[in-house]
Amino acid sequence: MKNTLIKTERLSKSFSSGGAMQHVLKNIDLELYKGDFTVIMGASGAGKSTLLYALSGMDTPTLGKITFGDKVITDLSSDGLALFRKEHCGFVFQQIYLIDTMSVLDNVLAAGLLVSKDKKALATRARELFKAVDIPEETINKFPTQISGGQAQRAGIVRALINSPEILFADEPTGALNSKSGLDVLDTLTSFNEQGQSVVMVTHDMRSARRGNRILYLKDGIVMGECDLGKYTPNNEERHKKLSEFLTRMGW
Amino acid sequence: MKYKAFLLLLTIIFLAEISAFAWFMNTADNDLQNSVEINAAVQSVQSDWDSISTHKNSTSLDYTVLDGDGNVLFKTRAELSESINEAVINRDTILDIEADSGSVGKIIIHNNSRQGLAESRKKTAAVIVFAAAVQFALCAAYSVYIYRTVIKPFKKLEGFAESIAGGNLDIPLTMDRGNIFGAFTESFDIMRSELKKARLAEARANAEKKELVAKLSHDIRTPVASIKAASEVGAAISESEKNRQNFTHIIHKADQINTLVTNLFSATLEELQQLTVEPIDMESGGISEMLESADYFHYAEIPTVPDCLIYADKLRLQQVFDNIFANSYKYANTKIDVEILLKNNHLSVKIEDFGGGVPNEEIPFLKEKFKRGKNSENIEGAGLGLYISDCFMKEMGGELVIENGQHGLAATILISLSGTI
Repeated sequence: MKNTLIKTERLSKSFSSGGAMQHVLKNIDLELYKGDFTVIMGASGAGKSTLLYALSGMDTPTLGKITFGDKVITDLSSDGLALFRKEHCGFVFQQIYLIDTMSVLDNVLAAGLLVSKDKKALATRARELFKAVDIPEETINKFPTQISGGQAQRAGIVRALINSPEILFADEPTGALNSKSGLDVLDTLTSFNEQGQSVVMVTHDMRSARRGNRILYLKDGIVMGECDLGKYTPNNEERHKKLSEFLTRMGW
Repeated sequence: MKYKAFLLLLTIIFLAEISAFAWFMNTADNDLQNSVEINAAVQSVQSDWDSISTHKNSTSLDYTVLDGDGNVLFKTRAELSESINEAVINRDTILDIEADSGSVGKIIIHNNSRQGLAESRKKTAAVIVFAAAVQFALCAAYSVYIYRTVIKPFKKLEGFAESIAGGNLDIPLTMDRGNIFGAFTESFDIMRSELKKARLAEARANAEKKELVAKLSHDIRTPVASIKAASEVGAAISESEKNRQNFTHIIHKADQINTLVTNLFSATLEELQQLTVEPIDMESGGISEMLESADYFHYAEIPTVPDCLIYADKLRLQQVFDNIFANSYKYANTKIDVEILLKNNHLSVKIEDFGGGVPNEEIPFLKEKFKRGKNSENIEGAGLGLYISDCFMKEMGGELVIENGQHGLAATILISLSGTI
């Protein structure tokens, strides 16, 4: 029996475009579970990122209710939401957004200091995480412009995890990376997930999607279907086959 | 070319072929060697034996005469067998020439059957080729005839049927009356023109009906608007409460007449399939306002509407609510309960009065056109409100359920949630 981490009820998000309302998410009822690597797929404009931002409290839905653990985040003020995000969520974006004038380590510590004042403990955790993502000690004192794209994204993951968030949200984390760096980042995410980290990732890349144990397919603002890949090992051919079949069925 | 003529021609050709065969057989018989002539040849050689060198052939046969030693004494022409051996090989007829002393020589009658056989083969081949050519020509001619008179008109008919099925009644079917399908296609074309006339007449009648109803609606609404305006002025300047109530009553009745006229007009349009329902995704919040607008007597307390996106046509949904509340006012005139909740893929709006409902057997017919319950006998109405409301809800992917509730008649309007259709 899986524990529910996030639950949405009739989650809807609308935008006004030239006077006409555009409904990007429509009455989405969804449950995300602890420890899952959930992947959200769908064509461009299907509402993938909008859903991710709504789930993570970065954006407020137009209608509906989102419950995170036992807290209804749709009832929170914008300050309340900001605090909630700092304490419970980690974010990895396609653009890494490291501050160029600070070292890689300081970038991570700056994020940690938003929540904790214990700089020593933060530095220890940061070093552990850098080790886990395979960034050597001598690199962490370099500036972001001095390291590769793949290293920068892995540093981004460290920054996202410094506050031990309950869930890590990743929006196209490999979108701006070359094939090898992309694989490293995916391996890093898979490895943290195997240690119990809940991950929600938006992607339109099938190679990335294979890492998830639960695939949700979004179309025209609704969850058209989902596919459970949890019973297959990561490199199992059956896993790939089942995902391909699912995506074909969804009209991918 | 008609069928009978074709059969006759085929019979004639068959008879000609039989005759040709008989003639051929006869000719073949004639080719056989005639024993009378052979006898005549032997006789003449025997009689001329002593002066064989002056012998003259009086038959149509070719032959060679040999003496007892096998020497050639006489030949009717060159290239004939000159010895018994050659004669045997050529299957010639060899006979003895008898004299008083017995056999004095041989006569070899030339066998010309090989030549005859070759000629026979040529004749046979010629007859077969001629017969086949005639039959082929006949079949080819008949195929062309069949294509022109049957297949081609049939293809034309196929295209015609397609355009009729597609509703295009303007293209006539031109066909030669002498054609095998002539009469048939003519009837078809008459059907087309009759159908076209009927359709035009129907369109005209519908347009006239629509125009009449539109005119009537306008004619009714204009005096009703005057009555309403006068009553509103009356209510405003009235000094006694009773008079004000009377004026208010007149205003509500005027509103009811307007609703009925709208329904009548809508029903006519719906019949003409011109009544459009254009549902879109919209927020459920607007429903409260719609219900409050429909409940102008304020008989109901409108509860909070659960937040969701619904799939509806705002104008038509308002008409549905208007109809349900107007019915309740007319037939029950009691307080009204409104319950709104999310149910599966629908937002359910249940509107129930306290009028005791209708007999259960009437329930299935209430949504039918021009059907009204028994309790409506002294109440004005056309029996269209629920029918139209039901049509609207179906077009929006929802449903209108009419049933007897705990206190009275309950109308449940099931509105589809966005993304569920």
